[in-house]
Amino acid sequence: MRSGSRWVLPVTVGLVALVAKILLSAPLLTSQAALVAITWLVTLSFAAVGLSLLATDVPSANGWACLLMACSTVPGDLNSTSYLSSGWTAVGFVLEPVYLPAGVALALRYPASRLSAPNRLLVWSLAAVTSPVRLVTVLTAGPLPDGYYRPVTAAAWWSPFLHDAVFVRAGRGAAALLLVGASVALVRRAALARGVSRESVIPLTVIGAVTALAAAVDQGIWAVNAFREVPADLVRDLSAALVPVALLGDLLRRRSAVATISQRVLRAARSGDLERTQAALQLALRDPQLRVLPPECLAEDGPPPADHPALTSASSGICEYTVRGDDGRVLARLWLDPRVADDEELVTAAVEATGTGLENARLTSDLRRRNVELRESRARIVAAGVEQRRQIERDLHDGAQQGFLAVSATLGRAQLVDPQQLGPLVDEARTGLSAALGELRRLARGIHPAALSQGGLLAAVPALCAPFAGRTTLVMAPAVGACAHEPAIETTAYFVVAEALTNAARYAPDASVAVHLDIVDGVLRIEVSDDGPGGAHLAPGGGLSGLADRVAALGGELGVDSRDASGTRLRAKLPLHNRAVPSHGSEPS
Amino acid sequence: MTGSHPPYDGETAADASRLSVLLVDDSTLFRRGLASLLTAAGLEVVGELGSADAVDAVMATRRPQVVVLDVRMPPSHTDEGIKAAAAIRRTYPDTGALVLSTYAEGAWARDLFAEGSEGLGYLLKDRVDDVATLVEALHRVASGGTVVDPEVVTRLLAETSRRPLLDLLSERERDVLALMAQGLSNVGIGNRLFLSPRTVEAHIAAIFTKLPLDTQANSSNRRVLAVLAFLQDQVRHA
Repeated sequence: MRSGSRWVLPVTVGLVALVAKILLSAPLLTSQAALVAITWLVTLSFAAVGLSLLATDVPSANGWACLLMACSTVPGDLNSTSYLSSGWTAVGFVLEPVYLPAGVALALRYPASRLSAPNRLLVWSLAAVTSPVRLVTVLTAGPLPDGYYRPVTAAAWWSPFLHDAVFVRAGRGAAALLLVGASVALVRRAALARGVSRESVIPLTVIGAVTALAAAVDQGIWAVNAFREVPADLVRDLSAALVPVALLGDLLRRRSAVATISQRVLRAARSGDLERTQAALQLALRDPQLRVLPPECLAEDGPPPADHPALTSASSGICEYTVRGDDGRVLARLWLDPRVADDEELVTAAVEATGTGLENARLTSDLRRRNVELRESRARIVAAGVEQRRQIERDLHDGAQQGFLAVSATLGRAQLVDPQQLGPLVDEARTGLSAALGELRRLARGIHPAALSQGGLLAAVPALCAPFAGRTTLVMAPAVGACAHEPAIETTAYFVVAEALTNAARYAPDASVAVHLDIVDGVLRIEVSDDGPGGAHLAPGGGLSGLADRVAALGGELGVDSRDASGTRLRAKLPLHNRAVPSHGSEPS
Repeated sequence: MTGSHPPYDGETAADASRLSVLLVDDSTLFRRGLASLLTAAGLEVVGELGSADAVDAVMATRRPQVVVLDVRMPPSHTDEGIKAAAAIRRTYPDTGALVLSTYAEGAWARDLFAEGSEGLGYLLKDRVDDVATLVEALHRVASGGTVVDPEVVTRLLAETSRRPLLDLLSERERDVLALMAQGLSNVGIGNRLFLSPRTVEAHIAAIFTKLPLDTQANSSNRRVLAVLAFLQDQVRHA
């Protein structure tokens, strides 16, 4: 639909109107050159403005209205003395006043695309008392060989009186009254216009009011069939010629206005500060009562609060716009005076700029927050590493080292006794040595379990569970053995299970524990649950919290679900990066 | 504290025929082993403590001649033993303090000897395998002397490079000082450096002249004091 095909119809309509206009009014060129030139210009301007409007994002109704205006300048030329002998005069006579309701509708709604209900009634009434009444006039008067301005003659096949009084005078009188009403409505619209739409509304409504008033006087003259010397039609035509000029000017102004508003609002909204955004929007849309509300301020369909100033003003309420991010999340709500919201194009531009800016701010702050989280968790991992080394040194110092030194002291004592009495001392030294070696082994296992290096999780996890046999059920998918390809994942998984079991032993000594490991869709899932007293949580600095950091560093997640009295359930997910790992593999070789 | 260590002064040995010792170490295993060793060696172990907090309470009733302290003890497991040793020397000038540590830490040694070296010692726990050396060190500290573990001296001299006092000495004098600090006799130093005993004596005399030493100290202590002069200089320049 974005291709050229959508331009075929409007361009054809515009060109046909222009060509028809030039051809049909050519005979008048000799007698009224200036007036004819003006009408050509009017037709050309309306066609050009109509096409320009269709090229913008504004709803297409106004573009088509302008093309209709261009077309409606054509029938007037048929209704001239040049075409007296043809039936075309009648067609021209009937279609000539189409521009009246079309023009009034355009002036009453531009730049919006919808009319209010009373205005719509006014426009349709005007349409009803112009062309249809003229059609009846033509039909009741028979052929009109000498033009519409000829006084009705006895040639009318219907009652000449009714024809003249009802269809000609009353019809025109009604049209005159409705045009007066239209000019009042236009003046009122100019007076009520607010905010950024004032600049579009005022020139067009003022010109439209003058045109409508002149047209009313003209219709009135024909209705009473007097005061022919008043040049109302000239005023009407000249001011009507200004309408496309005003529209063209507005169109140009709006191009830069859209850019300015977007830029200004975008700059403010990018700060993420809703108050600053509100101030920028108020300035850009010239609506001092505009409000920007945070998304959590109201429920999705909540009513606006009763004390909003727009509600107490003359208008019928407020217009709410929901500003959404790319993912559909509500970023803010805008409340606008509906009279400002009239200008859909500018308001849409402002709302879109607000959305883009706020989304930008949200993404930036998200990024910053993640960055901080990342930095903190990295720092925690490093700190945990340092603490671990400190702990290992301390364990070595307090445990194995003192054990060996005690053996050393025992051997020192051996220097003081008879060689025959060495037996008990050697025994003591041997006991001390094996205790110290046991201590070393225990420590080494804590640093990296040998079972994990040799048999992977399939061997190491059962070994972990062994001390809890009788109250521990272990379910481990054979595919878990494939984690051996990723030592970081494997080791972290091992320590997650180890920490969970240690916690269970400490806090739920009588509970039964279920350990479950499997791989689903390339993710190693670990679950350790007990039916103990519960109440565990990821305390900062705790063993679980350090593990959560390590799991997160590997792109996984660790969570503890432990409401009081409902047991503790620890779950971890570790994505395997090596995609060759089968999701439901067989026993590893 | 090797076999070639200069012999311990006989003058105080007679007073301490049965030296009384208080052990302070948070490792029960090592403390028990040490207590058995010292008892077997004929010393009197008057008490065993797991931390330095209760030292004063013991000192009130039994006044041991030496307190043996571990360095890292509760509550903070940092340098409680070093602080306690200095406090003991301040409060009970008649009692010596020997720090027995798992590590040869230069910083701890400098802290320990910061306010003086009399009646203080710093030995590695490894020395418990050499009863004679250990007992001799205890006697020396009890009699107001000073003991520094060769490991600690090596560490300190390594850390001491480019210090002002060290610059006063020639390279040869420095070598002699290092060996002297490890407890070698003049003959031992000469053998190690291929020098005649007279040359060694001359170097030692030069060292004693150049370093600010307490001229009243007895001859065996002057050798250790020469080393400690560095340590104190270290503290001042730290």
